[in-house]
Amino acid sequence: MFLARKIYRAKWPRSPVPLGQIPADAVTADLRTSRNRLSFWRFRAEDEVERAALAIAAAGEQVGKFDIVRIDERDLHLASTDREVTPGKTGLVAWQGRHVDLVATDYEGLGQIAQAVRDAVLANHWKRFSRERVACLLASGMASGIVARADLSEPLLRRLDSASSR
Amino acid sequence: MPNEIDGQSVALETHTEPITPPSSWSEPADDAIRSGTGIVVMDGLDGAVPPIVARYVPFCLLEVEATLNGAPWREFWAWYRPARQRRTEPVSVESERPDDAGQRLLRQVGMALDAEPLEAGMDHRAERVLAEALEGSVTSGMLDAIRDCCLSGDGRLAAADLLRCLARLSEPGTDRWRADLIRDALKVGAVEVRDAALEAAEAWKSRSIRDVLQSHVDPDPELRSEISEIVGEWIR
Repeated sequence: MFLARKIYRAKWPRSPVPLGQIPADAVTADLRTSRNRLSFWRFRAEDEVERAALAIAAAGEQVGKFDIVRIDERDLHLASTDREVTPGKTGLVAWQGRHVDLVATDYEGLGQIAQAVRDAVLANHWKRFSRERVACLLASGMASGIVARADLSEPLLRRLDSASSR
Repeated sequence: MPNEIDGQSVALETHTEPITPPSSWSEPADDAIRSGTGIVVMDGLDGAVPPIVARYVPFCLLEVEATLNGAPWREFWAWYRPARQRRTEPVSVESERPDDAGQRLLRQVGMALDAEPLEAGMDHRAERVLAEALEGSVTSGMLDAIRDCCLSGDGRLAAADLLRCLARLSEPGTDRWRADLIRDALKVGAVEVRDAALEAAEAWKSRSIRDVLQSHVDPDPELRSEISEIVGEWIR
């Protein structure tokens, strides 16, 4: 299984660095925990990254560029208690059950996730979705009915409606 | 014309009358405003300072050279009319010390970003602070301060974060200001700043910005590839 999370790829190293030299901004901005938990989307096949991107876009408030990092779950050596399935607040209905929180209760746990993100980025296991691409994904998702308007945030709906009326 | 500045008598010595107004807000008007010191003084226009300058276009500019207590004094005066149906660009209007408004704005943006990191795809208070400031009376000092911070940060506010916030606004400043900002940001050594500049370029699409992208060869292969994609998407 794979885990996907939105990051700013530009904050992460371009070349291999030891764990202790991962830029602090990358960790504090992209791996910001809430109640010692980090949000991820879980999926089975590599080619589902586009769907993960749609799930993330349909959970947001803006139509804008973002990067997704894809981590192989095996690289995290998770115990069963390190992962909690929680409802995904996304308009992509089929993916609402694919959201997990990784539990990083301490510095070491967070470091392990940071290391996995660093390795995935350096292994090119990340993908950029341009603003244009995100807009296309959302528009086609809504047109095909897999994205439910009722489950989108109000700011995102307002922006999508405004863009489609132009 | 008023014959006093800050309550003191002023001897007007020369003035150039008036610069031909443009038929619409356009690049030549931008040049006119930005000539000389770039300062356009609004105070003293019979209290008729437009509350939202972005919705007004200049129709007359007047350069005044004067002597104030023996010291040379030079000002530009601008008269504005409502934009009506014309599309307008925010104009540079200065009514306070050049950097005050800009520095105050950057402090507010910095505080908002300190409180919570920017997250792609999610609203942030910093962009609302910027939007409110740039939709109101925009000073050239404010735009200069934002530009300078976007290019180098200011020790408190990360350049890339500020650029990303700006990218979320529909059209801050003028088209030329935006294109120049992107061109200069693409010359910055930090990859994150160049990456943020591309985010802004994609958001603000214009012919001049496309020209900037097409003439830029980024040393980073990832960003080079992104530039190709952005330009390709525009052309399609």
